[in-house]
Amino acid sequence: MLAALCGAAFALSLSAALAAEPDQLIATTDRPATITATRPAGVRASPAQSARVIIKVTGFQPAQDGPVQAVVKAERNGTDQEIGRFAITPYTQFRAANPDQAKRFGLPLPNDLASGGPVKLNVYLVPANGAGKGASMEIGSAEIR
Amino acid sequence: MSISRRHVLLQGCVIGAGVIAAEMPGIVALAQAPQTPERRSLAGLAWNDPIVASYRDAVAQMKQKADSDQLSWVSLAQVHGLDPNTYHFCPHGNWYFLPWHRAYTVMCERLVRSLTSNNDFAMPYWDWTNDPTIPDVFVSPTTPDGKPNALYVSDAGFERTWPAGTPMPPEIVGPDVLQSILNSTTYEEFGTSRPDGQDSLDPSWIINQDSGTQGVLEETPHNNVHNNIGGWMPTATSSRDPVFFMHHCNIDRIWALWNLHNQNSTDSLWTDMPFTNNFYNPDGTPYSPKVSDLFVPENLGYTYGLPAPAPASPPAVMAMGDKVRTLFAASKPQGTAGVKTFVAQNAAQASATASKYLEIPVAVDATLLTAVARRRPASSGTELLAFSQARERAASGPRALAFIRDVTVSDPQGTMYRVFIDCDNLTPATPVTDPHYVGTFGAFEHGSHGGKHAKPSFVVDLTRAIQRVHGSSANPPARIKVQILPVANQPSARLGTAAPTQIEVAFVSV
Repeated sequence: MLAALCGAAFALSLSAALAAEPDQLIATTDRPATITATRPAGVRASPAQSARVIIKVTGFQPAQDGPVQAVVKAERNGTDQEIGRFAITPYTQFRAANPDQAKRFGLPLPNDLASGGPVKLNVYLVPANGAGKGASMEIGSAEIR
Repeated sequence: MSISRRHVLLQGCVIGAGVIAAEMPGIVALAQAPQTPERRSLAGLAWNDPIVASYRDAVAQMKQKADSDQLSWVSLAQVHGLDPNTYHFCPHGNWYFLPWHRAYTVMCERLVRSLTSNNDFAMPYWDWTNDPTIPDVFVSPTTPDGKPNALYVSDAGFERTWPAGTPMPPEIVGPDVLQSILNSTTYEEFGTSRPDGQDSLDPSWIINQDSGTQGVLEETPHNNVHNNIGGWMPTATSSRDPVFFMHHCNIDRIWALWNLHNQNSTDSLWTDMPFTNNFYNPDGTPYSPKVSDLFVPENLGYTYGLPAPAPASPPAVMAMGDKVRTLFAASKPQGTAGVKTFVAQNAAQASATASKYLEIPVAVDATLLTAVARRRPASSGTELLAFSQARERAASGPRALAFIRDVTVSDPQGTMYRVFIDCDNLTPATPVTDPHYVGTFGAFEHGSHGGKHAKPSFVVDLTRAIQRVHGSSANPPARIKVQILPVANQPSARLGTAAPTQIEVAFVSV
């Protein structure tokens, strides 16, 4: 019982600490977007399915000189752990007029990250070929499912 | 009840057995039944292989037709996208992505058969996990016989930008990514999820782009390979690039692999959705399959050759194992059927050093080399097949091994010895993802046993590298240059050397 209470208290304090850091929702090749992924209220982990992070992208500007991809890293104990990569196709500018029009990308979340509370994500824009000049990506939200 | 691929295979076995049991003439009928064309990896297909030649010929024919012709290359691409910025019928970012592109690839496959009268044609796939560079057949404006190569893209403003010979990064196509994809347990996680709010079979849901959540298959290798290649590929009219269908054929193959152990969604909003008038047959009539019509490749006229698991150790594997064992039992096996060894001495006792790699040419029988280069490659997804089947495919085809004998080494603790074949521009910076890379060996110098200290020998399997390097060559050479390059295993390490007394290249076949 005591352990459960301690665990809950730890999760709450972690959540509060993460929430205290403002999200930076625009990623460029110079700076990652940062966002905290949380499990939506009322959504419980499914024992039949491994946990995933769902990232909603609400805007994208391609680079002028070659493709870029998003590299998603989960932050834990001050270090980044890559959990996956995605790219936007067609490789063209877009902006979601409303949240329903966001492009959504699911990435598997390692068990050690899925078992805790909110997860801080850093989304890097990385050129695959070229310098990635002018590229940017706007992150709308991130959820754990 | 949906019909699975397993059901089809089992039914085929029962029907075949019944025919044989009923009357002997049935055997003749069985033997004459047409084989389902098998989709093969582009690796190991020469530029003039009938499969590659048929595709190139059909694309050339379609490119020559007027854009308004339904069978033109432009018309085929417009099924996917009307212009570079406007999709037409194709779904992305929702759960119709996989079945729609399966039907689209089938449509192209049927057009190629019709245009070339080659009914054995099956779309090859680009297995970017095993062969991450753009396949050779796409990268030159002309074929080796000097004719225009219709698989090359020269459209102004839409030339490919990914350098030929540069591999797609393992972070997007490597084995770990493939494993992550195949680890998905539900269709919507694997093949992208349903559109948000879908409540009917209205066809507008098909083209409700990006309304689902993309899985790793679509978002990582699919999207990144499209974008990286450049030119047409990152656009809505991506199928103007002939590599499109080989890329999507591999995506389709991964779906078939995943189906070996996982079930498709049974939700009728998915299974019952028709792609009405999205596609057409070679005679111009509409081809309008619904999703559940597209579950079984064999029903669509092609196969990936993924048979049901075999219950026992395949005899071919046991025979191959016996032959390979003879190579380890004796340095120069003589008189073993199916085993042929070629030897080259390091007469000058030259060493591989940091500044100069060691190259030893070994004269071989070109026929044997060709057999290895053209063997059917093992699938990158074999780890998910039944073990005996995967083992049979990987182990029973012709193989080539190199024995690097009696190697004198110095400073082995800090040194890895990389082996390449036939790499004309080998440098210490040549990555292990280079097609010419064979493998790496290390020497573990830790004293001797019983006062004897034989020099170490090493064996590496050349099969995959031969397939990559010579698979598309019309006439593979009658020699292999085996190259040894020492590299440091950490920045501060003292780099050692290696000098073998000889290299033996052994060809083994069942």
